[in-house]
Amino acid sequence: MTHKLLKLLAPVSLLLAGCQPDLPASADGLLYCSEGNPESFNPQLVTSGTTLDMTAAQLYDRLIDYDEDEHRFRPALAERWRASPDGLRYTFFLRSDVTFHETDYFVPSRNFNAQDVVFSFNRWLDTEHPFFAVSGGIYPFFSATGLNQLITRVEAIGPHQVEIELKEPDSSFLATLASDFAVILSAEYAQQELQAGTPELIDVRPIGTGPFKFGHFRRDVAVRLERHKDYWQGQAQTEQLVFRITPSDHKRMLMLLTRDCDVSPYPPARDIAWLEAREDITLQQATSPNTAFWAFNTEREPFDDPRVRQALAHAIDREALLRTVYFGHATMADSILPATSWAHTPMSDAFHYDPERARELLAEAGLPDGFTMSLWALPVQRAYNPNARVMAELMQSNLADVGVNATIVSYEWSTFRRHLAAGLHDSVLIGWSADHADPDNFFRPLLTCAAKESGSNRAQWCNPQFDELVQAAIRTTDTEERMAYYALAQTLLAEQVPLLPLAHSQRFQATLNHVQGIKPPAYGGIRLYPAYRLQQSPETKDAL
Amino acid sequence: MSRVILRQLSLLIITLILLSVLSFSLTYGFPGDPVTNSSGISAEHPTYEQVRETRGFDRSIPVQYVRYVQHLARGDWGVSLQDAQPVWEEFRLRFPATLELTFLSMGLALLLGPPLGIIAAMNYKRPIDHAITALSLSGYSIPVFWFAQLSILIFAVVLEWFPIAGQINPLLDVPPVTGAILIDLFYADASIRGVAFQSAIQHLILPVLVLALVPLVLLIRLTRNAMIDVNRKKFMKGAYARGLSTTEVMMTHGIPNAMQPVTRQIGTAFSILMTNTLITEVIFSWPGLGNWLVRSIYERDYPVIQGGLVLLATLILLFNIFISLIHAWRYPQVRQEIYAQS
Amino acid sequence: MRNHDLYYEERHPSPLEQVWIDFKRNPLAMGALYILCFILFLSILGPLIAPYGSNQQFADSISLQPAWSEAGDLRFLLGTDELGRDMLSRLIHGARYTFGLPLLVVCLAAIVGMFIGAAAALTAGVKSSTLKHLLDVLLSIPSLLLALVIVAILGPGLMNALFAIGLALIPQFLHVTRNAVVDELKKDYVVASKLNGVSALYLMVRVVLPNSVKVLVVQLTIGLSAAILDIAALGFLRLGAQPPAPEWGSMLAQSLEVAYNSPWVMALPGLALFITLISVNIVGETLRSALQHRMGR
Repeated sequence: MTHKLLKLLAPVSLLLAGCQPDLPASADGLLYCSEGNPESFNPQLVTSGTTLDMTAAQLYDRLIDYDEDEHRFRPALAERWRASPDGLRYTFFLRSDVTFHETDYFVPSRNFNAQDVVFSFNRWLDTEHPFFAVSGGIYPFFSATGLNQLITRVEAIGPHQVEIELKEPDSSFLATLASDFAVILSAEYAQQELQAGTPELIDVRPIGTGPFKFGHFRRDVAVRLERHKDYWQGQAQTEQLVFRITPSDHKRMLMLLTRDCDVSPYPPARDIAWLEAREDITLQQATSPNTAFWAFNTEREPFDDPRVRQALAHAIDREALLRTVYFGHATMADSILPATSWAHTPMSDAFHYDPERARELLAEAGLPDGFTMSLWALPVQRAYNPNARVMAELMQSNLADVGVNATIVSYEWSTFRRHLAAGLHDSVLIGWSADHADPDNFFRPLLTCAAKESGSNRAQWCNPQFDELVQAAIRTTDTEERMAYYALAQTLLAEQVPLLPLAHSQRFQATLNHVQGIKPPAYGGIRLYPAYRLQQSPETKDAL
Repeated sequence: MSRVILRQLSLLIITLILLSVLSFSLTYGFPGDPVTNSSGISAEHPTYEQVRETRGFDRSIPVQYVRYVQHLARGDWGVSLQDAQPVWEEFRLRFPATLELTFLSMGLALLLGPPLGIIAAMNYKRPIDHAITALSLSGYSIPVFWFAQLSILIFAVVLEWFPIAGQINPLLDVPPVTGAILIDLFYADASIRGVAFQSAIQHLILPVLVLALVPLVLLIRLTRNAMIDVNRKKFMKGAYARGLSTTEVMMTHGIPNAMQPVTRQIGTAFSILMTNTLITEVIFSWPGLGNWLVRSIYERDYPVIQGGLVLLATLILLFNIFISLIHAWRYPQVRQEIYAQS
Repeated sequence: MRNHDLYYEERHPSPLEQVWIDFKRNPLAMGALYILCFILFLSILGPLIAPYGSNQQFADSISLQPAWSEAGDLRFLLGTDELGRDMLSRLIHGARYTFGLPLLVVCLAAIVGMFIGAAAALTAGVKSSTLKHLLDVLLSIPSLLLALVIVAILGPGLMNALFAIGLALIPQFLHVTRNAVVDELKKDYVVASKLNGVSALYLMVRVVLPNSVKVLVVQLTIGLSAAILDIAALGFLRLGAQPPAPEWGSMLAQSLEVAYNSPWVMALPGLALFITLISVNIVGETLRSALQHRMGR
């Protein structure tokens, strides 16, 4: 009887003891735990960092890249480039040895050439282009940075030469080309799908030139990418790359502990201290230029009065926010522009904690008894703000001290963004992560009149003087001159306070020790191409 | 028996019609534009006018209802408001995943519940009975979402016996063909099938055990009570008096009679299990219906809610009718009751 | 009148009294009843007893372990959560959400269900059989699923969730009342009353209902158990009580984010829920078997 039972139970105990079965060689790969589903597989169409992580550097290449360590642009699909002396015409000389992905739904007949570049740009530049309206026709990054207005013409002047003509000189032009959004798609594949009557598929089953090609995607489960064997920089070391979709940061951390994830971005701020102490986990951080801020809706009373905005800025104890929300993993912001940028001008006097001064200013503005306002708190975790809800609760009590009664408002994320763009808020806790290294990225997309039009100006603030300063700053390429303009712009912001900068936080990423070669990016999405596994097998887990 | 089948079938049809009416009325019951609520196409979308027309929203309510049913039958369930994905396509993969979990748990409960209940009844008011009763009462009172989280923490995180979440190790390339992982395995590459099977089983153990608990204790209680009732009956005494052994009496008289009321209740157990699956999927990150439905309620994604409810209600109805048929087939006296009633 | 006096001497305890006598013999059931009384007491007077407010934050004591562990602090008997709120106070405040409100809702649902059920039992014929069929459909769907549908229509929120649970429970009460009344109506004593020529109202209120009350009491405990579980489940799915309300289910949902490092924050609300539910179920089960016992004779 006993031995029979044992025999029966043997497979069960095997299953239990084996824990994770040894994987066959074909299943070798890297598990990256992502915080959400991708919105699309084409970075041109999106803004969310989650989607960029999965697509931009994995599936695609850009004309040029930005080298974070050496702070300069370096060739990618374009071997070299040349700007005309007046800064209005750029010529890019393209590589000829770049191949597109070959999959079961597309077999490329030719290598990458100038037609692909022209197609990729015209898709979002030319409103008459057959692909412009496919997948919604909204290209948020290009309209927020004004790139779609800036470029007047993109033309192939040879099989491997492309010329781009600008309306006016723009010193942030190369930086935008090196950003994650300016990817190169395959014109041939687009043509194939257009003929098949399914043009929208080019954003669903993508084809690019990047180090990995698309495998399949199952909503809420995983995105699987496979290695692109003929990648022009040499094939990646990992056979496959799987983005496991795990929205809860706590669950991502647990899965890292049980080795169900190899890499986990954005670990919870409260757990960073002890994750760092663990020996089997490497905790990496990057100073990613980002700013959490509190924007006032300057179109509404009483926030149309700069004195009220100044008063509210002085009412907030930002030290306490750093302690409780960021657990010390952030620095206090004294300008919208992070201190790591060359154009940064500290304006700490304008924002320091001084409830006395706040009450005086409120009295001057004719509101000695305070007022009631809504305080919108971002409903998701972002690199710049891990927990806006808690932050709002702390600020609520700060505001009560100066007689302002704040009610906290939060909606589900997509509703939240829609209502924000419509300007239904009094004030909002939100933030911004840089897309590229140019300081312009913190001014034009956030605070200009054009940004107000496109719905990304959270303060609904439109100041011609400010617009003029930032326009002047991008028309010149002289760094000294630009710095002077940006200093003036930041002074203006300190006087007007359309928003209160709160903190610049670190971007964290936790990785199992046996995965090497990757680091959290400062700008945009992560690059997983250099990742590799240490050959020595990870220490076997004890069964029981 | 054919009369019973006919009656159940007509009941099913009536109920399905009622269900479709109810579901159609949700189009107007939900706040907002009825066209958007049923199709997921918002008023700003270029195809809005066209959708409005094909769904008959420019005509009378009965026409709209007929069009709604036509769309349902055709598999055009609208698109999700969250990400514009076709609702039916998404359900096609998610529903089998939920069913897999539900049926495995139900199977486990049916396998273990009645025997334990019979053991308890045979040892009426002895320690074994008390132990089983206590277990079933506490099992019945434990909130399943708490229990699920506790077991993850203990068995997956601390002891590392099982994985925390998901259907399978995602490094194994098992393409989602049906959505139910054990079936999808057969479509996977032969070289990984063995490992994939092992991995899938490991991922299944914890959620199935957690979910099986509630129907299990329900079945234990029902079987125990029914068995105790039967044991008091005179025909049981008669059987013993004829000199049959305990096993013979139980097998031929006791158990078949005790299972009669239990069979009737299996449908209820299934419905409760179904609800628990919806909640628990969120915790185990199981890519099923519940996970999506709950989020859709939170995000007010009406086409998804509407479709999800139709699917769930239909499944529960079908299962209940299936159980009634089995019940009527196994126990002729039930047929008699039905005839008398009709 | 004389007849009354004649029977007075031999009067048996009423059915409910008989059940109570049986009930008192079971120490486990009495224990469960005491626990329920205590929780009811907390739901009414909780805010007066709790050491701190439900949302009072202590920035210096974040995620503190319970007092009996070494890292604990006696000020916070059951520790604090990730925002530095006292767990004990939150649990006490939460009793009102997770036990008090469902109790209220179940009582209301019972009253409504009884009225409709009694009316359905009296109006036999076509109307009643249609009603029965609809009821069968409704009853095959669990109350939580129905509540989910109603919340889907009304939108998430505590009040909507309570309303939904109330609505979802009514069919069960309706069903039980109707069956009980129909069963009673067939009995001889009811026929006798009818022959005496009493009015329909009198028949219902004075003759039939007192004899069906016992069934309703059992259904009340079943309903209460379901309502508690449902409100907690909705809270857990973030469709019911919204944070920072200390409803136990929504406390559980929030605790999932810290479950690994502060397991007590997750364990305590679940434990409170478990104890409450098991007490309700023990009381219900004991009542049921006592009733069956009495009726079996």
